Amino acid sequence: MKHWKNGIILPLALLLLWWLLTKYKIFSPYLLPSPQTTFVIFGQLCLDGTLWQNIYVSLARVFAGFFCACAVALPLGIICGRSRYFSDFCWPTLEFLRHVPPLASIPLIILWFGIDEASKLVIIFLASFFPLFLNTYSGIKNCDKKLLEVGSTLHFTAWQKARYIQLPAALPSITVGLQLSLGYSWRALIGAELIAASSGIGYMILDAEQMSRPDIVLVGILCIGIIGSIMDWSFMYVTKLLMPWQENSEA
Amino acid sequence: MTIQLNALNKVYSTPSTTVTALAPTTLTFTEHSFNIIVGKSGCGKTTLLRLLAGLELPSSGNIAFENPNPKIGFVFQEPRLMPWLTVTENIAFGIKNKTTDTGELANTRIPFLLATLGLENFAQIYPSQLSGGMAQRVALGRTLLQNPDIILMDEPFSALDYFTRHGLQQTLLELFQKERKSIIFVTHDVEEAILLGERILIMQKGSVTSDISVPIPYQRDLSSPLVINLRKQILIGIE
Ligand SMILES: Nc1ncnc2c1ncn2[C@@H]1O[C@H](COP(=O)(O)OP(=O)(O)OP(=O)(O)O)[C@@H](O)[C@H]1O
Ligand SMILES: [Mg+2]
Repeated sequence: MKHWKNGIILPLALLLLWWLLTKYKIFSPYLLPSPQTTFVIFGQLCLDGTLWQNIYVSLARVFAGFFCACAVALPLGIICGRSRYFSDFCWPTLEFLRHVPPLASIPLIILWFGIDEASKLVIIFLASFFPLFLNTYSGIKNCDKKLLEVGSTLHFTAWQKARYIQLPAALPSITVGLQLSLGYSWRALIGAELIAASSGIGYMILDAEQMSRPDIVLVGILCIGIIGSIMDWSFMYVTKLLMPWQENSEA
Repeated sequence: MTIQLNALNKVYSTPSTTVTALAPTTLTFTEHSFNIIVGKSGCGKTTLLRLLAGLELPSSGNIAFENPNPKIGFVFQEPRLMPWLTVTENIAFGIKNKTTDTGELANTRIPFLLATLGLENFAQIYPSQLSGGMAQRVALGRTLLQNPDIILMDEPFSALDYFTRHGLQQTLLELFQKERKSIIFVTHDVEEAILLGERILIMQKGSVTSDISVPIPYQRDLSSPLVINLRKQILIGIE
């Protein structure tokens, strides 16, 4: 965050470019609305509450999907990381699923889960499952053998080694997984809201497209980017608080 | 507690070769003794310690401890601290598996160890901020908190500079004289062996070839004729 001053230059330059492009009518305003109109629309959407409503709905979906993914991916990753047998058992299946983008299975998902909230949850779940699972798995599995030996010399039981050594040692990796996974679920949101949604940021964008309102589309895109960044940033902030030793080693 | 090795043997087999890391060895370590194992790199010192600690299983032979459930502490060559725990928590990690009366231990023994090891001012610091010498002290503290009957140490000071090593050797000697643990200490440093050992075992290519007892009182003077002779004897033994 120290270098935000440098980071702000490019966005400002792009904003200026955007303004110049529209000021000199290089693109028609039907294709590229000016910054001014976009911000006016943004204000209107904020004031009449539609934007907040949509953001709220989208965030609720993302968090619901993300928590479902956590609830499955974390334990599964830990078990696979600990048990060779179990990971051999699951691996081919998971490897297959990993290569199928959730968007490819949308037709089936609609067929099986309908067009309501359930199918959106499933898509977000599928998108956020693998980064978390894989990072948890490798974090647990690649635990430093030397630290585990310390557990042996201290006469730890298998459970104590898992709880006091493997799990904390895997935390940084698990955190990266959580962060990626949260980002992926946010990105998958639009895919999920492609399914006949009637609310949410993705719906707002699609609806605006059909009404030929590029200004609203732009507002939607800006919101997605900004909210995504805020989520990521707050997540990192919280993890730094929870894992002070990590911050120290970076500094 | 006495430890009896009976034809203890360890062979590592890889697809291409087999290495006899420890040829069948019969040996007794007596109670409250400071034993040094010295020898060239690859002669099987670590293997012997790991067998004693139960980190490796013997290929044949066995180890008989006087007490069937010996409390054994191990200090590795590297500190092996848990990076997510502070110095105090790392020391307390040594008794993490005990469910009873850890409170009393934590309240009295940890401050004592922090003081003895000169770590009072670093109690709340994470390992990444410690120097190698301090980290090794924490590792020693973690082992001592277990209050083991036997302490196994694998070249614990070899990565440290002369002054830090000297300081830790003195600390260890004081602790040994005060608490009379059995210590089995591996080193490849002959001077360290002479400064610390009551008994010096020399290993060559997987077997113990000399067994020298050192009846010189502590705070040994490296320039005294007795010590110089001993040094010669050990160097000849290792070659
Ligand atoms: N896990 C293993 N697999 C195969 N061979 C091994 C293994 N561990 C040790 N050895 C072999 O056993 C022999 C003794 O090794 P050991 O580590 O006990 O030596 P050391 O005396 O501790 O040496 P150093 O002073 O370098 O630590 C060596 O030849 C080594 O290559
Ligand atoms: Mg060794």
